[in-house]
Amino acid sequence: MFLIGAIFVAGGFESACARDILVIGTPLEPPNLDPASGAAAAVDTVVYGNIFEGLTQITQTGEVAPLLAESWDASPDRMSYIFHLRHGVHFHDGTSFDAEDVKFTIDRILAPDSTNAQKALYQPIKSVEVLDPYTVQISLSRPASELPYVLGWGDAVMVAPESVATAATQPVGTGPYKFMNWRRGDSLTLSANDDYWGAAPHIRTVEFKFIGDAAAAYSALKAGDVDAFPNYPAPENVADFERDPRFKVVVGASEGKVILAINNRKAPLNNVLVRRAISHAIDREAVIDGAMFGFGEPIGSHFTRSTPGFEDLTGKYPHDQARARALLTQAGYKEGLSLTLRAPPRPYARRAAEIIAAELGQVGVHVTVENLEWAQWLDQVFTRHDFDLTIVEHVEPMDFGIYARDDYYFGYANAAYKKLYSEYQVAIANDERSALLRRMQETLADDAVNAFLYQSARITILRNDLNGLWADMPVPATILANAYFTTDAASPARQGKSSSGGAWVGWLLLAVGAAILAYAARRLGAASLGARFGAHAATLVAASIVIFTMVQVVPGDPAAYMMGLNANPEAVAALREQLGLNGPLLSRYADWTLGLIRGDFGTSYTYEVPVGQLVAERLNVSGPLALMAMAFSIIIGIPVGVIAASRRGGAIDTALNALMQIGVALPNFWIAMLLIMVFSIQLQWFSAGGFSGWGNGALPALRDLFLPALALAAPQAAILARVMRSALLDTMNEDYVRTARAKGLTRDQAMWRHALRNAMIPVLTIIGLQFPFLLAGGIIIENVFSLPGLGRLVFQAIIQRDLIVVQSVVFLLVLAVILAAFLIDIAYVGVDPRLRSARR
Amino acid sequence: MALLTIKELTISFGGAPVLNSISFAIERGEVVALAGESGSGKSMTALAVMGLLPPGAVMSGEIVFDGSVISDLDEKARCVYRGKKIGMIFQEPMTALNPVMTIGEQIAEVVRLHRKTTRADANAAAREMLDRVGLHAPRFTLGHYPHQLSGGQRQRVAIAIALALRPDLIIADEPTTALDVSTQAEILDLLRRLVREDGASLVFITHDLGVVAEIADRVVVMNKGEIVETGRSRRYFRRRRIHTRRC
Amino acid sequence: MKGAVDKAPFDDVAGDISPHERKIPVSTGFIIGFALTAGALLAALISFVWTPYDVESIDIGQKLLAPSWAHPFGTDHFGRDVLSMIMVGARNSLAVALIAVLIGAGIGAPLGLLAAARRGVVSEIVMRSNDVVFAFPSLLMAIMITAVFGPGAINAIIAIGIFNIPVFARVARGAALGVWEKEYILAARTAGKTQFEISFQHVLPNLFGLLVIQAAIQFALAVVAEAGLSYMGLGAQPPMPSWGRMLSEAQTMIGFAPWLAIFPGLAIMLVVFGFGLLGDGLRDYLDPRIRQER
Repeated sequence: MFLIGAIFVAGGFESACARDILVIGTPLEPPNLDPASGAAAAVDTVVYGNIFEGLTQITQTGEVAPLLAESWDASPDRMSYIFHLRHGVHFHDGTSFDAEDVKFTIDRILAPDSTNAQKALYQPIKSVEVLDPYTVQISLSRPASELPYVLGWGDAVMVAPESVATAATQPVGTGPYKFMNWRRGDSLTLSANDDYWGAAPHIRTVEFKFIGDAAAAYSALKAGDVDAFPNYPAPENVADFERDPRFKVVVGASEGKVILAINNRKAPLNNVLVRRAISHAIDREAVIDGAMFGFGEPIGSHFTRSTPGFEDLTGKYPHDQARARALLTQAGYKEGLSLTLRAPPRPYARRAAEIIAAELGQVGVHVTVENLEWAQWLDQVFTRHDFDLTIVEHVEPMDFGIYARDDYYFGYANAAYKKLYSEYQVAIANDERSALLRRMQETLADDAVNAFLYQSARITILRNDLNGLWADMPVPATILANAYFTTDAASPARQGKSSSGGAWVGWLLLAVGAAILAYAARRLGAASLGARFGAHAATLVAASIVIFTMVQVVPGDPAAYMMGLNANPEAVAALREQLGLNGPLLSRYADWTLGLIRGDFGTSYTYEVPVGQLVAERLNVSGPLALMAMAFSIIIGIPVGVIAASRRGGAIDTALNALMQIGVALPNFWIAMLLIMVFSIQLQWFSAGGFSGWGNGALPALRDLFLPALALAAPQAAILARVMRSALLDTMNEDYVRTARAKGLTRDQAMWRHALRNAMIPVLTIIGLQFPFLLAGGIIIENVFSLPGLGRLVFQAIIQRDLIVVQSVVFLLVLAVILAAFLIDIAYVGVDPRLRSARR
Repeated sequence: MALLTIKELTISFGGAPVLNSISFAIERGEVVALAGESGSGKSMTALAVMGLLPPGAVMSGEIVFDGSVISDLDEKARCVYRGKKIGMIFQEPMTALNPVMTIGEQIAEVVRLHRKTTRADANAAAREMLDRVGLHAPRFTLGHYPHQLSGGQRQRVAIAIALALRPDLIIADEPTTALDVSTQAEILDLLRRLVREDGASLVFITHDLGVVAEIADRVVVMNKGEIVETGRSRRYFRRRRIHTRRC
Repeated sequence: MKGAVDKAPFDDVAGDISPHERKIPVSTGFIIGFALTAGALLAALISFVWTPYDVESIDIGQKLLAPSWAHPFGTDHFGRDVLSMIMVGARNSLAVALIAVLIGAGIGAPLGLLAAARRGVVSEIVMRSNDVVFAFPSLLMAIMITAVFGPGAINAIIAIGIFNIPVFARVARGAALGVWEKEYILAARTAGKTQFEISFQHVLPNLFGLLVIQAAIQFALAVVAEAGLSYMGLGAQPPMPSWGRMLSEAQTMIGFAPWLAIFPGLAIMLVVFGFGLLGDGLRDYLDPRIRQER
């Protein structure tokens, strides 16, 4: 009932407003927002060019252009650069941008304890000198003509010493947008910077919505929850969007190179003949067609078409199974061989892996595919080089330097290539550089270091009236400054405002809890209550030990995950230390449990905020979702069970019984898919995913939870109905029901007045078991609808190896189970007077 | 005219007969014992009179109560008789009362069901009935739950429920069997006294011949679904001392 | 009751008719359940020797064909035949569920017997550790377990199996406690048999029906759990088809290839439905006897 009440209270529809809100979908949520420290591409996608700016920028066409530096002069030997800074630039906190900030930023990148993932790129920098407030000189230890280019990367954006401490959570930059708010697991909001030094951005507010699941991305666009989705992850839907007049599809080039990486260290793959055989066995077109639905351009080396000096080498290894077999025979593997392909968790990789495994199978190379999560992949493949084959997209532009690193995961070591690369690094003339690049890519192709598959297309799906987003994306970023709408109609995409309305929920829960305890103490007697409490507490302690132990043995290094693909080991080690992952086990357990008692759950490794805060945010979704699902389960389950029981044996009973059996058999995620199919895609009554938050009032939030709650509740309602029915039939056989009938009650009256209350006892047990199940069991449903709930938090945390979050949330869920059991104990007392202590 | 007349009552389950064409009558104010071994059909007869036969039972014959044929009535009309005109007491006092309802509510329920009274009046009636069955305040309040009472006390509550509306006919199905000997006597006395006070007829189902002698004016003996003997009880008891035996 | 004649089944007989006299008809539900489970089993077995198409061969040219005579359930995004994949997927679903339930029953039932035979500390330890396992949200823990040991059918079995142990332990203990009260147990004890012998020679056979019923229920739940794990990508790995993974892959294609989502979901539903009916049927058949023995 209170739900319905809330809907009325919150009534009122959103008023039409000018198009100054843009909602952008993005597949990856950044772990934090400091691009110069824990650099993941996901950070750049949000902050680069929007919040933070570099001295230089990389334009849509991949050129270097001035930004915070108006111009620069290179010494003829390229050993020193002087940058002339733009005047009148201010950080969002009002402090001005000057040469000291440049020095601070670069020194921070190069500091020994720096966790900058691209530290290696900036290693040639020997020192930074402030010549005057608007002029800096950067001296190098070797010629580096690429310096202005690498300073345009997201890893070198300008930060200020005054505000850098909070860069991870409250970034302060010089860009056209200011950081507003971050609802972890759901969305991040930016607002226009009124004091921007350049042209003011068109759109006032931009919300990034994190939608990891390809299916959820599709539904979010279709339902109008997002206006644009750059890096759209499901190419299979492109044709569908092209047919839909509400959308336009922009397919641009990216710098992403998808490769079948081969472990060059390991026999038989250290044999170039075997690697060439693999290259011949692969039909790139089939991979592009099957995995990417045709989106992508085949490549013959680790170079994209936009790279200077690009040469098309795709003809070097045409799809030729006979050649592949001949090469294998020549290499001594006439009988074929067996390899393992460890695929990271992206749709392109998983799909390409299946296709490639099938193709290699046809030339006698038996491939076993192992799908890994990112953390496992980083640990096994990237860090420990424990793999034969893998498929991954290298998104950094012009990252052919990785082939000169012996310690890199695919282990290519070729002195000739290294020589070419170092010549290239110091080369100044464009002709010379291009020639070197050509020879480098030929060398890579000749050695068949990896099987180069395709240059990925950057698919952007956007509303028809949205313009000015970049189509091509030379660096991972979403440049918003030029985006604008051509119509003024109200945006259908809803905008989430910050919400901190959780406090009253907490107080309410506290009050309810106290009332329940008081009731229980009165009815049960304090001693009995204490005994029950003690038993539950013992279970809880045992569970905490189990959880802690389990989490410790989870393989995968949280630090490695956070640092991303190209991180250097030094930085990872520094982060491990910083996270306190190196202490002895027992003291860490003690720290954790003592913290729990104080209500301190620790600090999330990835999000760098207190776990308690994360959990509270997620509980604002999972709690109402579970409650709503439980309400549905009860509202549907109990009456159905009662009706079936009262019509025992009749046609209605038979029909309801069949329905219950089917309901129990339905996997809730399948129901969810069917509900989306009907109510979101066909009828468009409900959004197909995402959560708009409580800030806009209860109505939209409850609407977002409606379908998920329904999907979650359906099987539970069926279970409840069955229990209700059989409990009721059992009690209808009791003597006291016969007594009641002998009084003159009809069968139905006897059922309602006498049997029902007695039958509630087993039903209560089931309801008690359901609540924690719904709280945690929503994990799949939360994924299907991309809701920022507890289940998804813990799932993401497992994947990201955010161990402190995992153990704390699992502990909380166990606590919920135990608490529910305790509440059920008390509820029994309410229903069954036999359990009450004698009052006189 | 007899209060209750049973004519050629036959009951079977899935083709297997349980009662085979039995007929007998009970006069107003008469106490009749229905005796026989377990499985002889006594309880089934009682349930047929109440209209509470288990599902699956196939019945033929006629039951006439107070001049009306009640065996043909529909469920709704039968409910008017149950509790108001015919009260029934069951064998097992431990399970015959609803454990989650106070005894006051359980007695008042039958009053409120058949009479349009206020809750207070119904409670007053319940209080009066508790006193009549010997459960006096303040030791026994309307707010007691069945589990707070002994078996004998619970059977008193069951009697209070059955007699609350002073029905013309009371059917007691082995009401003392589950009780210990001294309590048996108390309950029997109580029942006999209350029936006499109200001028009601009593059908007393038992397999205990001692009880028959003590309470009944007349006895009907059943065996395997048929009536094998009827007669005045004292005389009958002398003549066929060993016909039925304790089980 | 509507008059004296009522065609309802005998279940709420309240009179003095003993359950012995009741005939127990084999219900239609049981027949449907049996047919469905037998069908799934048959499909799984046939898939070892024959499927309409090879499930591992990828033919991009044949991708996303709607259901037709050639491909009754259509083809997927790699041009694989969905019917063939569902047949092979049945193997995986049934095997994972079966082994997980066997693990649960194989460990849980003896634990329950032990707890019933030895009251006191042993019983407490067994039941308390059961409580601890029960306190964990099972799907979440299954996800963690597969995260620890890596995804795959075997780890899915372990993850699901662990959560079946306390279920069987509880059922076995509850029923065994009742059996221990029986006179023939007393006789056996007087004859000098050990608790172990009594548990397995006298108690266990009495629980068999109950355990079979529970197994059918747990089996249905295990099929759903396996599908959930596979959906999250933690079950059987490609190229081995699994129903849950087929569903997750279908999700982005719901709009233009709904058959990809409908058929695997139906397969899960029918198998779970079938086992549910089978369990209910078995209960109807075995329960009167069990109830009496309690």
